[in-house]
Amino acid sequence: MSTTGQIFLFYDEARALDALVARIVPGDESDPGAREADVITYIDRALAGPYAEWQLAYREGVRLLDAHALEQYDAKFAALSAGDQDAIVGALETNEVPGFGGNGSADFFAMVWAHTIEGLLADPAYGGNRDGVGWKLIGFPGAQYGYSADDMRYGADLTTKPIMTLADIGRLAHDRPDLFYARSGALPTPSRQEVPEMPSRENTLDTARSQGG
Amino acid sequence: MTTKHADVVIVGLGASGAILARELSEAGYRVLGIEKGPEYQPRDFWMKFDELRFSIRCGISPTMDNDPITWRANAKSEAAILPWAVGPGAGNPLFLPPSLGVGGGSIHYACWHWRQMAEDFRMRSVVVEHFGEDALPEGSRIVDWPVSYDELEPFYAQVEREIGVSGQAGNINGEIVPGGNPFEAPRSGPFPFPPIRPSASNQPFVDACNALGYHPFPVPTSIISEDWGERKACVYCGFCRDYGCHVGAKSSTQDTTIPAALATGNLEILANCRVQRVNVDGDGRARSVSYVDAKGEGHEATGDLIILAAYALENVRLLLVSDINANGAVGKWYTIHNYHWFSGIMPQDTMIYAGPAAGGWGIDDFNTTFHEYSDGSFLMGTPIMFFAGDTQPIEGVKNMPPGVPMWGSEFKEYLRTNYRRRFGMYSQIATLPVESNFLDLDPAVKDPWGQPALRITHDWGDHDKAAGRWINDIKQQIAKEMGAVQVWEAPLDPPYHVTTHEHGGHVMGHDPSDSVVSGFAQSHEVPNLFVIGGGTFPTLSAYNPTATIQALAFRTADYIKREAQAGGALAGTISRATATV
Repeated sequence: MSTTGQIFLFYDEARALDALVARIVPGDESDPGAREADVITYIDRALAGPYAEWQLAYREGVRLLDAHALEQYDAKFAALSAGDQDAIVGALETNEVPGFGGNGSADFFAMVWAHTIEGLLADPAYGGNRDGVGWKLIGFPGAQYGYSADDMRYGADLTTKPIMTLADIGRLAHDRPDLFYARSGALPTPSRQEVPEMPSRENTLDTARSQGG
Repeated sequence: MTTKHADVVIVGLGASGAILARELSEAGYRVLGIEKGPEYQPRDFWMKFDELRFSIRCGISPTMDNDPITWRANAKSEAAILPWAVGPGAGNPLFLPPSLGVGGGSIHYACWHWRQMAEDFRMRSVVVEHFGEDALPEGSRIVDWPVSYDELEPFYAQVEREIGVSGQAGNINGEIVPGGNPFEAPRSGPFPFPPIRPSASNQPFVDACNALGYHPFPVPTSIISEDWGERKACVYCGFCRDYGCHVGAKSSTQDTTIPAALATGNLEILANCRVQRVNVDGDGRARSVSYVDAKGEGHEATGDLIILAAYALENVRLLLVSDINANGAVGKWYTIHNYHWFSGIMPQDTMIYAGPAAGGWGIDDFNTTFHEYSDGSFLMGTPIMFFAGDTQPIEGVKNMPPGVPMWGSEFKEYLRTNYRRRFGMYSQIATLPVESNFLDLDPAVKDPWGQPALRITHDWGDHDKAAGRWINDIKQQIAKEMGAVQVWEAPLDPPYHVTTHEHGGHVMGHDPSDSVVSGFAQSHEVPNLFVIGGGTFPTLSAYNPTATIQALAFRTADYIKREAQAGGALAGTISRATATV
């Protein structure tokens, strides 16, 4: 289970989803998978921010997942054996877990699957892919500034190349700005991006009231 | 509400608008460029190494929230907001319109920078010559362009020289040059930069093509292979398609013509401002455009000349909402590319994440020679491009071969062994301009400012599938010769109907009754309005379109400058009244 705290998912929701992603890409400490990569932290932070539109889909999906586990095995999903969990994941994928709207449980599986891949393989800045374990699994060296001609040979082995992350690129940009593109001549006018004004306090209160706040 | 005035108002500062902006500001005209997206600075892309942000979440692409587009397969079905572009895990900028901002699609593009073949400018003649008039499908409008390759050649050369294009010439003034594309149309000179470094696994592709008797060559790229001023040579990071460049190697207009235009002092840029309408006076001349700024406040900008240089889809939308469609031709003859994606696995590591995708070489043996292979079921060919770079992990992993389980230990084994040995090939069969594929305004869906969304009516037809089967069989043959251990194909009629290569809708032609603009992109209906870009293409070649879009933009600029002089067709239309030089 994740070493970080959750900011959207409730305790049992996080346990259930962590168990689910661990069946999608199974692993252990010696051969990390989605759980070891902290995919649950990725999903939790995404739901608390850019993926807020899918909060309810997750909340409802986990509820139905646990309800199905309780009905079939008398325990919540996270408490089941790997074999029993796999049986339920198979049922999710093939639309056999009841109660889901839309196109059924396969949609929920597809959503969690897509976000598991993102959490496994996005930059660690997003909370998943802890220590680059997702990238190591697939043989990707990460956010490299560039590759040499020697790197780019068919059959070359880059698995020993130290993995770089966005954080490393940030340090490189700070230490060696000369390696990056800048424009000094023909300097453009300053950015004219206009920032919308903050809503007035009055508006904020009105909005809060209309939402029952 | 404010009113601004300029000699020339340009809507959209992308691949083509930014060229007009520079050409006309350098000629002494006061230019106002109104751009829907932001004005990025070079440092904004120093930390661009983020697949999730820029590719999966489409960080610099238009969103369906702000710029909704709807699609339906045919006129009898209900349109919905692009179904392949919404929902969890749906993101892929390849199936959206190109990036927004100053530089437009030339920020995110993958930088294949082809000239068209001479035959591509006379598609009707080619089809009729080989298959007869009867081969032209019913309800199609396959025509010759109002501009020829020879007329456009100097402008292609200008684009290559002035933005920076790398490549190996194959034909200079009729002389075949070893190492280049022997099929290309004659060029007046070599490329200004030598080819970029090939993809890591390019050699097996080249060897296979040579063994099969084909003619592989480094494809032209608008990525510089050597330092040029402050712009640095490509460093082959592989975060290229969908990303800005951290070293300035990508020849976007944002880093080429825009700084030069700003240096004249004659260009003013209004970023984050969306044009909603072209206002036409009672005398039939365009007076102004109406736009909203980032705060949502409405303004007007008047100009002697108004140039719509937004994306093809947005140009069409603006013409329709502005009621500039007297002959009913706006929105017709919509054409796009089908990439017929082909993926495979090699025995050894391919580093598919490294270097630009355009570092893969190509063959043109099956392009304008299509008639040697076709029984009439397809009427065009395509190059085949090796695609073995610039594929980041999330996109790569999600492109799964059939039969692999989506979870569990077998899926993990797939992750461990497949991505690192991946390669691809793609081609660009264009849809034919047919009546059943068209653009209009959606009757129900509006953007957040209350403006109607564009509606696409498009489906893949028998032609697209027949051509796809033919070209994919050739890819199969090449992959086998390469020693690929596994290959798989995308469906010949894929679920998406936007491929960043949308064309037509305001096609050019000599006849004002059945085309929207002249060969110089001047509106037939509103004489001081120009509508430029891929929307003017009356037929679509199998090449990435930006080089042709930009060459046409230079040609339009040349026309405006020439005809604005005393006695010219635009004399009296445009003045330099407000210019600073």
